[in-house]
Amino acid sequence: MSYLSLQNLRKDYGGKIFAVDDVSLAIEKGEFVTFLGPSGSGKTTTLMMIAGFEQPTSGHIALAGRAIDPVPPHKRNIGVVFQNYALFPHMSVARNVGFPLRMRGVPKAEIAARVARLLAIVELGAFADAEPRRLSGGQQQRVALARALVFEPDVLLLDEPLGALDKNLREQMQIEIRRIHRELGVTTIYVTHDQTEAMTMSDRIVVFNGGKVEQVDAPLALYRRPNTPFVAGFVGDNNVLDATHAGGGRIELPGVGPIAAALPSDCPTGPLKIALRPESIRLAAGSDAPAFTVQGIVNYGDSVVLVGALGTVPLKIRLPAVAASNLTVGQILRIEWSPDAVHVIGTAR
Amino acid sequence: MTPTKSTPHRPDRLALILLAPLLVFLVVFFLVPLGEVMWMSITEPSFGFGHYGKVLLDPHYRRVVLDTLGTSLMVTTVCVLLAYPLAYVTAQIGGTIGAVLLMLVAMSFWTSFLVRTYAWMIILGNRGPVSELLKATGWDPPPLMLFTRFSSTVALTHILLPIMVMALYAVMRKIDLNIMKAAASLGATPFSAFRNIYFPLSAPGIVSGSTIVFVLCIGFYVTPVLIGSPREQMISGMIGAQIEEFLAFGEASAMAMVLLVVTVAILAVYHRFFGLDKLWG
Ligand SMILES: Nc1ncnc2c1ncn2[C@@H]1O[C@H](COP(=O)(O)OP(=O)(O)OP(=O)(O)O)[C@@H](O)[C@H]1O
Ligand SMILES: [Mg+2]
Repeated sequence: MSYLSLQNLRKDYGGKIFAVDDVSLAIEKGEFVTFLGPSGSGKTTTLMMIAGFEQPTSGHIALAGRAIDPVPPHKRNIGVVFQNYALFPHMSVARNVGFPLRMRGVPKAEIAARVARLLAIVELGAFADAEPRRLSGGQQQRVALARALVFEPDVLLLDEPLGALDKNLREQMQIEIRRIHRELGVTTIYVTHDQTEAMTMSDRIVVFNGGKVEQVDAPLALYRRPNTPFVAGFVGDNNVLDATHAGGGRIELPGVGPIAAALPSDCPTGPLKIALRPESIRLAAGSDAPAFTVQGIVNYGDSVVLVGALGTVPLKIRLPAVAASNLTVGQILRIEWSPDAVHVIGTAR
Repeated sequence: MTPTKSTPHRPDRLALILLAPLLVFLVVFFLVPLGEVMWMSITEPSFGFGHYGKVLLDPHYRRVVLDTLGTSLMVTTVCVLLAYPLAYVTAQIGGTIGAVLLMLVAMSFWTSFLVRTYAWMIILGNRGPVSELLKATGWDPPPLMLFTRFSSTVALTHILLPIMVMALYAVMRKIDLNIMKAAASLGATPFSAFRNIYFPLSAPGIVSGSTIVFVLCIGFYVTPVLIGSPREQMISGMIGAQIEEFLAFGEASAMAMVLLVVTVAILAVYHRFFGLDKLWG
């Protein structure tokens, strides 16, 4: 059995839909798992149920083989880092970090040593006596992290811990959090709605949508083989298209005709959805390739996104900047892609 | 002179013009009478600081001062004990129920304290509900409650309680709920989270609420005079009696000055440690 397991968790706040709807997850010891999903998809609610601040309407949570449903938050031994840090404003940095140890009756000398060690890990040794509000956002976040780790929790929960930081500091802290995770090996659940953050940090990503789990996978697998149209559209940029499989490995787009696609053997026949990454589409040399009408050009500096249509099907293409010079709106381009680039949503490849 | 040079002066002049009516009002109706009181305290009926000596040293006056401070301390303490749980619950639940609770507190606050004083006269009177209740339970004859220090303490507590609730609520409302969750996740039992986190963070509300209530209490006139003990007067009542009954303007003025100094001293101490701007949350 896995280390942390959520079984059919459901939370009903009395809204139109369940805030969390039948979520089951198995998380291994030492794993770094990210909850990714749009606003209101139930990430925080799931996290709060794991921490014990919210009672599931139904379902169970087990930690290290033990049901923790009736255990109150202060006895769960789960560290939580909140988006707004939630440091105790009337205590120094060292007293903040020492708080969980004092609550556990750890001897004074040991508290001092463990606090010093954790402050060294988050590189805040020089700020032990500072008041929290005198620290910068990134520093406060690291104090919160040290405080949530010093008592060696079984699980560490982070709810959008970098949401309030600017981009450079975010990237720095992402690296920092990964390093600390490697050093201490604590099982970590990280909540974010930033898909780049999820991709770069996680061992596995859990994609939430409308209270349900859409897919659980390693970042690259999630990127390459989205299981649902939602995941295909949410993780990275994508073209999610309606298509038909007439059988025999031939895929047709309505109004366009057959397209190049290498289908997996388990591909069902009939209507299906396919995903085609904008960056996997190239300009074609020949004149018999599909025709794409440019309707809009968005320049990103290093790359250019062309918004347009393949016949009647709306399509996005991302080209390297060098390949996209002197293109104009209204132009008709010939495009191509490798047959492998087409992913049939819901299949294994 | 360029426009840019003159602009920095304009806000000052404007502020002065806007403040002028208030300043005139304060000077005419506050500072001048205050000066007069001060003047009377050393000239009435003849020049000298004798009144101050008497007010500060005479055992009778000292009694009044001590009674006043004692009653005020009692009222403040009871206010804290009653207001803290109420403000806590109100700040915790919030929403509609919280708003209703706060409305009830505010309603009692907006009711004239004269009305509330008379209400207590009826409640605590010899034939009032409390007496009857005590009689019914076998306490016959019931104890005399009206015109005692007990009745003035009860009424003053009731009158000043809303102020304490508001002062506490203003501070408690700002306490981040995530901080309490963080404390729990770090292993604090609900009680130790309250003791180590919530209480220290709400303490500024206790200090400012107590300061306001105490300062209002030592100067309170109507309630102690109407339903307090005639033998254990409070300073304001004593000042009134000196003027109305004995026409002793000098002594009354000296007492008023002492009251003023004590009040200002309390506020000055508060300002020294916390800053007066924080007094109202
Ligand atoms: N205390 C609550 N009472 C009622 N409804 C709630 C409560 N907390 C959350 N919800 C609802 O539950 C749903 C899920 O909310 P949740 O906070 O878990 O989303 P989230 O994925 O964390 O979103 P975000 O990225 O915006 O933080 C939302 O529709 C929200 O409105
Ligand atoms: Mg959230």
